[in-house]
Amino acid sequence: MELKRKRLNRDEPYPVGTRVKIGYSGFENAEVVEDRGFLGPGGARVYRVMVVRKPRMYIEVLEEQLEAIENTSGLPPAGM
Amino acid sequence: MPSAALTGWQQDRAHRLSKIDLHCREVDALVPPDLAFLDETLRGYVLHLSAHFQGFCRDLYSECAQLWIDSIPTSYRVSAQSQFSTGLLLDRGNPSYENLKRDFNRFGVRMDLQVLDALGPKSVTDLSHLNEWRNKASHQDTQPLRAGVPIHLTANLVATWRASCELLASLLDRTMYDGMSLILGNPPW
Repeated sequence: MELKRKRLNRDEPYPVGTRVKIGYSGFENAEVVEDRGFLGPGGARVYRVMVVRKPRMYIEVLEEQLEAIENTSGLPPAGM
Repeated sequence: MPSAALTGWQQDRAHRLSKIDLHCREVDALVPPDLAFLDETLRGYVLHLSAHFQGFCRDLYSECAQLWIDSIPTSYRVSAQSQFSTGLLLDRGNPSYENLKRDFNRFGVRMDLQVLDALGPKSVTDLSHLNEWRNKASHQDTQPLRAGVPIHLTANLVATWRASCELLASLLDRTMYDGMSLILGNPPW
């Protein structure tokens, strides 16, 4: 279920603050808040992301579940 | 083969803590002694040690959760990840033995580190004392220490607590290895 990533260098992790959506979910507006390292199955990278909604919700997902999206709000990332 | 979390504890976190330990020893050996600076330095060591142990526990929890989730249908994945991520005590509270048990109980694994090693009970007590001092240091002495907690910090005392954290880390890793092996039907790492 790997989603296509909108980055040229796939080896670089998503920086904290990156706007993302989580594949196969209704969470289409989230933000990377922590790179948890290679804790996933087979050494997959895990991220802690904050789902932008009220109340705020945090979830840890695999890198392959994420797709970067444009920050169209004009606002800085919530964690910045 | 240890978990990625334990590997991180043994290779990265231990290295960082050793540097702090060395710094404390150097401050302890100053001539003339600087007791106020030594106290500040040791309190810093306590905070770092507790934080790294908490970090290890969070890493192991995350590693186990993602392995568990990897064994279920893809369409359930985000829902399960949400459940595993919600309301974790290790995200907010101290890495106390009680908090560890509550969080890891979500896997349905029997968590009784005290009986796995002759030094288990002492290590759990040391962890409790470490957390008492963590709170005393971070809250600037607003709470008195509980009865039985050492009232003076020394480099050797914190080093003893560190050894207990190392033992608890290996026991926690072993417990989850056994538990996840039963759940998954094969070795998790």
